[in-house]
Amino acid sequence: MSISLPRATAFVLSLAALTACVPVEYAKITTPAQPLSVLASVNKDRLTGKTQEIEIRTVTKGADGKLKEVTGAKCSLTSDDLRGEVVTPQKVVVPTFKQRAEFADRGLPSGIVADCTAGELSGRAVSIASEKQGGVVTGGGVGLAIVSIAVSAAVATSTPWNWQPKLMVELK
Amino acid sequence: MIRRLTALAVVLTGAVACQSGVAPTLKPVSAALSAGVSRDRLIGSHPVMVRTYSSASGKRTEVAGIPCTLRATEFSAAVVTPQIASLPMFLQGTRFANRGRPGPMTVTCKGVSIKVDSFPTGGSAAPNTTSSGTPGQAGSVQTTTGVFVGNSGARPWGYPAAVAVDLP
Repeated sequence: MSISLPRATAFVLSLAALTACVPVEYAKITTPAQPLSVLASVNKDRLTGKTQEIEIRTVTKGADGKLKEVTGAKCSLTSDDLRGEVVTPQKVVVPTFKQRAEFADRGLPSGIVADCTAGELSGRAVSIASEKQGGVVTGGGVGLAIVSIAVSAAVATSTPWNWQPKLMVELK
Repeated sequence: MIRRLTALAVVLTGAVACQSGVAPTLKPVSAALSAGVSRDRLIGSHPVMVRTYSSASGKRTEVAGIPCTLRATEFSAAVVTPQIASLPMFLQGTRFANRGRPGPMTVTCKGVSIKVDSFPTGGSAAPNTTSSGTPGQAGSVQTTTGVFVGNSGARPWGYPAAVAVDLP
């Protein structure tokens, strides 16, 4: 049997892609989503009255270089507008904010910073709201955070600011 | 007119030089935080490539092995060009003074200084390369327009990915 070069290349590429995309096996979240507190200083006119859930998870690189989930990490969640504490993995409920020209920064909420620790490991990541709901936000340790931010869609004043559905914190 | 053309040429050359240049032989260096800078303000780091150029021969060419310092109120670093400095990124929020924005960074190489403003990282409008400098005089590189674009009001502060300094 012979395999043509383009096919062989495609096969190798597919394998590589599959290997690269092997998902981390995440633990089931069994506890109810926990609401974050909205600070008293927040102008309530900025809130849409609707909420979203964000899944907070912590991961670390194993000796084999692959990411594995860390459960039981303690995380504090902080922004200009919100506060909360969770033990990972945990879903949190956050308010969505209106996008209006009359508000400073068009009502954009500041990023939610997750500071997580588990034993000797620690890490920090930030989730930034955008006009369009996107993928996963991942942040490394304090020394090397990767901030992945969804590309914003065209500004539409009627579109509220949305949070990314997952906030992944890499512990180091 | 000639000055404008020269400036345009410098910027264009800088953009090309950003893509191909002398390969760095030194490992990236991490900036040292200044005393009193709260770690609460930080959110990781980002690489900034520093390169130096000379037009002494009449043609702008990259010169390697030039020591440069990068200084801002919040941090400092020393590189030997071409070299990457790993600079801290700063959270943006009203709970921090000046929304957490770090001060401008002054890059000094052989007496030539350029001032580089911080800007919200990660957006499409983010500047990639800054360039130019005048001996004995701090050049200024504008990187922030002040126009609100998308969610730039929440993205962490950082600096351009590449800084090119023109030596006399």
